[in-house]
Amino acid sequence: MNRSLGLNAALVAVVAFFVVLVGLPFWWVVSGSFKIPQEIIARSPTMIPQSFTLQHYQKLFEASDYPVYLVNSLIVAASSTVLTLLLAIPAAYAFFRLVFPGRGFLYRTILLAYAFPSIVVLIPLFGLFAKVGLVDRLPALVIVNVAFALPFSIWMLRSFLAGVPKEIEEAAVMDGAPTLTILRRIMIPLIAPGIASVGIYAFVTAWTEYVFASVLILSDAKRTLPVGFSGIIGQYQIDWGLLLAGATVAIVPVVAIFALIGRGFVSGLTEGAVK
Amino acid sequence: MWAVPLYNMAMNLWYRKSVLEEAGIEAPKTWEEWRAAAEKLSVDGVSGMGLPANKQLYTDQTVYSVMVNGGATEIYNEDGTLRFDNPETVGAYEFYADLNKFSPADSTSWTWGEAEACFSSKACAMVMQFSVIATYDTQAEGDAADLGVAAIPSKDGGDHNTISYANAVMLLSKDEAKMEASKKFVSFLLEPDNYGRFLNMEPGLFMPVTADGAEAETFWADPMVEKYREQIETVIDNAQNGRLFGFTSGRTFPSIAAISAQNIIAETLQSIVVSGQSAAEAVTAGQARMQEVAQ
Amino acid sequence: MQQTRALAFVLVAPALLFLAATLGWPLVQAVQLSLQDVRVIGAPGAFVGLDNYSRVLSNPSFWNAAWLSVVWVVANAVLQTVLALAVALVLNEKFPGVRVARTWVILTWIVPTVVVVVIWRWLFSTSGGMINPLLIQAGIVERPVGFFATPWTAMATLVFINSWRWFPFIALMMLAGLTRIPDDLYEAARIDGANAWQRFKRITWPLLAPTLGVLAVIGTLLSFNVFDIIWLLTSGGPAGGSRTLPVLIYETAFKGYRLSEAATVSVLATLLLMAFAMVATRALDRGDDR
Repeated sequence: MNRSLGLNAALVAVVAFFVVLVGLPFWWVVSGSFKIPQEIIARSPTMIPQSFTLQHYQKLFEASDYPVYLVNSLIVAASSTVLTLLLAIPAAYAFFRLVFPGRGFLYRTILLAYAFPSIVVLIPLFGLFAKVGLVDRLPALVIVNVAFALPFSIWMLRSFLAGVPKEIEEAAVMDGAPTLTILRRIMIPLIAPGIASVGIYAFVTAWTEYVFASVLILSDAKRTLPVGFSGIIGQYQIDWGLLLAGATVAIVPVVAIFALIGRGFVSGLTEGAVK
Repeated sequence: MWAVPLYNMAMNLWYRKSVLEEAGIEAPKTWEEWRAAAEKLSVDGVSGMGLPANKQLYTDQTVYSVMVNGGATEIYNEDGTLRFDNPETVGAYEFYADLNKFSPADSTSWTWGEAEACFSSKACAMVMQFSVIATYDTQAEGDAADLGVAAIPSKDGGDHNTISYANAVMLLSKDEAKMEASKKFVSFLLEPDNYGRFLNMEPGLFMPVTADGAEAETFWADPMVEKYREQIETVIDNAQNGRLFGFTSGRTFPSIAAISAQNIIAETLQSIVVSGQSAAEAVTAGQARMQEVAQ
Repeated sequence: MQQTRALAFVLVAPALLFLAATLGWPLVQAVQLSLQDVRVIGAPGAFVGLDNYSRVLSNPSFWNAAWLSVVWVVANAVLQTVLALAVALVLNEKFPGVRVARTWVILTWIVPTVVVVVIWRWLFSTSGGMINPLLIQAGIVERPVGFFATPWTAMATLVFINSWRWFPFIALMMLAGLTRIPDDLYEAARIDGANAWQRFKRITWPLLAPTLGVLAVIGTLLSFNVFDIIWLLTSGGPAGGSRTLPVLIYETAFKGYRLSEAATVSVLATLLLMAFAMVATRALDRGDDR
């Protein structure tokens, strides 16, 4: 497709704008984490570091259990992803393909779960978890994260299923294959990119969650990365260098993961139908 | 159940001696001098006086520090009714709001850390804070000879007061064995030598509450405490006149819990600084809010 | 038929039971609490009927928070739609590096909220932040701007930060819609001599509209419930200028120790959102039913 000169110029301008909007803050954070404190708080800040130090990283790893938080976060996010998919795929398929009484009503109710201020759930859930001994345990976080990711996941998967050509499924039905076999052998492989997208959605939801993790987890050894990170925000002092180092370390793992599978996520999203 | 005070924190006025000298002024002692100093130091993008106006505990502390220096120490009457709404309080708020004009624009969202960062980066000439020593030493120039600290100026230059927190260890247990163990631990901690070491976990921030503790060698032996000995001695001196809102003259009433949890002292300041009410209106509304939350 | 029903039940039940336990049950609890007079978690409370409702509904701070929530949702929707649509249109073009751009535009969305908060708190700070010196150097302002200093600017800054975090996600959903518009349509329009703006107006916009509709509903629900960014940056201030309903709920419950009142506000907020969601999904279903 050939674009006119004007359109090309506009394209370049928009791309440049977004590179700055997304990239510059990250550049400032990462480069700042290597500056000495005096340079960070200097009244005329520098775009390119004039100094280099690893003192903030040293302090970070001395003062906090960052590796432990990282492992906890990975466990919680991975478990939440698996559980979300296990619950969402069958439900989405049933809502998409099977006819049963109350289907429309139930489907709508699930979507309405989103209309629910999550902060409201905090108090009763804390009581519930206290009763069953889940406070200060990672499974509590998994449960909460799945609850928040599930409605959207079901909705997204259902539209991915809707994108599968009808003929493929009909051919299998003609062959007399049972419904579950059709789901497992035909539908799931066909919407694999969609499943990957939903998986990443669930992962990111769990990975970034802060409020519940800060309330439900009490002991330092079970903190997730966001809560551990907020722990280094001192009450009486702000050590920007330490915070920037902490932010950099909190960003790196998820960027690494995304570098491996991010492409799948995006193509899954764009190829799958979101109606 | 019992509680033992462990360390003390009191508000002070911090500045750089060289900056004041250059401006040809001395550390202010009265409100008038304070305002004049803030005005004079506000040049070249620098804020003369960094004062918070956030609805947050730090602002409760700084506002109250001005109140106690303007004759508005008592929030309660002896019978437990509120006396927050009085001319002295209004005067203190008026002065504070006026002084806040020499603060950075984002002081309405400040907590302790922003004040220290502002001072360290020389964007604020003076700040009111418990201690800025640790930040000044690690993030700014760290020149002990240049760091100045003074008592909070009082309205007419009389006795200087401050807010002061005796942070306590509290024990809520009925178990005999645990009680014994905790007692042992606390008395171990309060032994002069150990106590000094404990306080210096945060050098220059936690001040001793016991006379022995102030003498202890371990307290003064810490390198940072040694370096800033002059400032720390002044801070301990200033803390002699410490007060805490809701805990003065034996007038302690349970509703102070709700009043401080909702930061009503700071909220009242915001009504003036952010919403543009007059100090008298805001203080009257503040007392009404105190009554409301105390129900 | 009987068999299908049983199978459907087996497939749907786990997800439904899970949601009933984690979201449904707390809602019932919240309704129950709102009819009692409970101050702190675990304390007993007398049944007071609808007292809490009449108290909350006559409290100006509830209406103020509700208004701010509307402002918050609308401002976020507008800003995110504009940013996301621009990104999606660009990413739908072919140019060198577009694949990389498609992947990494999502960067702001995968960073933990707390980290986002600290990044912007630092960048916008008047002491040590990067934005103010840049603005001064560029001659846009003379003195450092207090981004969180007044109710109006605090709200605008929060909207910007929240949109910065969410627009890439919305953009990718839009891109999904765009990629399904067949290229032939554009070719045909080009042959008819339509310029870029006409092609956008006649083809892209009408065909993208359903996607935008769905995203508007989802985005509204998502941003209405945003709590952490606001709480961590301004705690609803200054002077209550960014105290949206979720912030009011949290403040009432955990700062004011009035659990029942907080539950009442929650129930009202839920009703409001449900009404919106029902109307909106109906409207969308009418367009396309499957």
